[in-house]
Amino acid sequence: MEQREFLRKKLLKQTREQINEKFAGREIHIIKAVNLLSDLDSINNLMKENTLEWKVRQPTGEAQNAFSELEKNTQSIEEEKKSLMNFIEKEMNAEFPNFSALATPVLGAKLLASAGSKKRLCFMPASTIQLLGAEKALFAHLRKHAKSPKHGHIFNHPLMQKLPRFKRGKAARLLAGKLSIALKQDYFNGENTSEEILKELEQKINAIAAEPVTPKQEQHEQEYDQIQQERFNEQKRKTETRNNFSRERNSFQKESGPNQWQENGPRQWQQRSAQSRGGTFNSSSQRDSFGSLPRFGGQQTGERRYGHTNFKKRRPMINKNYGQTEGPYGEQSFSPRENRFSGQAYRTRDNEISHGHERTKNNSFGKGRFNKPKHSHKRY
Amino acid sequence: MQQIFEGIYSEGKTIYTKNLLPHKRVYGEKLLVEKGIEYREWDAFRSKYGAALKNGLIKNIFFSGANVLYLGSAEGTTVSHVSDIVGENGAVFCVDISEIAMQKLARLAEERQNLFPILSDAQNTNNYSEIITESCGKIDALFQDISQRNQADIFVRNAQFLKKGALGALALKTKSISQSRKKDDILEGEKKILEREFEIIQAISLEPFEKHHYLILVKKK
Repeated sequence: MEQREFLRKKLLKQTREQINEKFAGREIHIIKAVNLLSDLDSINNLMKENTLEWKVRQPTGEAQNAFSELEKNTQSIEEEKKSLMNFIEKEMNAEFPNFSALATPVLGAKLLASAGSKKRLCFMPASTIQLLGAEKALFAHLRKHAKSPKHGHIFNHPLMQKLPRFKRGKAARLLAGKLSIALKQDYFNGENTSEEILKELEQKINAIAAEPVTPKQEQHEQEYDQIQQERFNEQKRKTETRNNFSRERNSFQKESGPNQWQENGPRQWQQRSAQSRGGTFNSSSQRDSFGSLPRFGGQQTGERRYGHTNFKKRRPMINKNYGQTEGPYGEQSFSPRENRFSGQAYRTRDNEISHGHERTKNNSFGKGRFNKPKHSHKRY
Repeated sequence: MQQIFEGIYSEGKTIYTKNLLPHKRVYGEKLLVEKGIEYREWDAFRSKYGAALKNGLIKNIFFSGANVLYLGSAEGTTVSHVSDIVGENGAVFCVDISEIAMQKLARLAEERQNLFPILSDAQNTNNYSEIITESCGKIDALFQDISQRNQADIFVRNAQFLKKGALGALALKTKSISQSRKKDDILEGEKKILEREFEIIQAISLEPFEKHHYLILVKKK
């Protein structure tokens, strides 16, 4: 017993140490911050959009107060973003002096986040670093014979931005190679030679930019432009036809008055369902506070019906044989509702024969009642 | 309160275990006192073994004083109930790969005297084989809840620690094996892998509690 207790204490200490080792690294906090930054970006966009829209409406009185609060909050998010950027810059410069100088701190942090950890990123070959962030395109290429991607996150590098489309592949290869060298220098505590390498990189990329355009490249570019133009035209045509259609419909409705079906259809249906239950249908007295008709024809007496199953007779949830695929109760223990999908005809609520064409298996109603949400603790 | 299996009790629809540490909750569950004994409610929506018990498991693999190997212990929801059943004389070796989940489990293991946390990949059995063989020789029960593609393979690999004729249970997540194939077909395929080392007693779906999950009860050949 004592031996066992000794072993337990030893194991506890060991796991504690392993956990601390994992969370001691600086890179975990950088990854967390950069993920937060991209989330904050989208939040910031949404809030700015809303403030601008509200500002146009010129809020006054109570609305003015609410608006000024929103404006204050948007500003605070912007400040938060700035402080996060500062944090990332500081940490990246301390942890990866060469790499962050070459790749810019935020882009470097994004590469780190998609690699997962410092060690994994530093041991990656240049070709992998080139495609980090383009995983979806890469696997589409491997599986479906789509075109191979040229760049992932690296695309956002300032040196890549000014190049024309067909020269970016070559530049991405060059940049990724230099980045992987810088990473290895950082991992094994090498010298800081980032300035020289950055100069060399700029020279080489300028040389790539100055290369004359070959006739083949020119042809490709023209084809690309043509495809883009066609896509644009098609989009334009689609939106125009959509607008025309809605204009026609509006004018038609103005001429012919409100839709007849909308007025009469549901009411007839309600009348019939009320009669089948032995009640009467009176449209004027049964309108609720919103002025709309209740769905099942007003107040009901006696048993309430939900769909065609009765709540009282429902199978209890705790049935030892429920869900069992083998054994004596095997298939019988499943819900009798399944008959509805077996192709047999059945009687509906209104005593009509139906073949189940209206409701398919996928949008069966009562879905939420039978498949309980995963984490509800209320019932049990 | 009536006893279903050794260490597992039920009243009405809910299942309970005797609380090893009275007046202490693990994951916000209800506590019930009857005739001076405190019971902890077992939430079937959060525990796959609990769901299997509700759906009609034939045999219980855990008993008091047993040495259990628990693969994929996570934050210790099910583990706490297993430690209740096993009692002070038993031992539960909890293997998990995630540091974040292990943080919570280590906190639990400090309170409960029969939990042995091991931070390791369950595929690399060499990492923890020494710990188990030195402390108790061979193990009485094996449980696994890992959502990996090679779940059955990992289970067979860990069968080396199990005694002959002892029971084991595998919580199978069919979605992590294939997204498109039917779950019954996947179950048949996984059963064939398990039959190398085990004799299959029962396979139950955990349907109202967990979607696309099975629990396979096995006995070592």
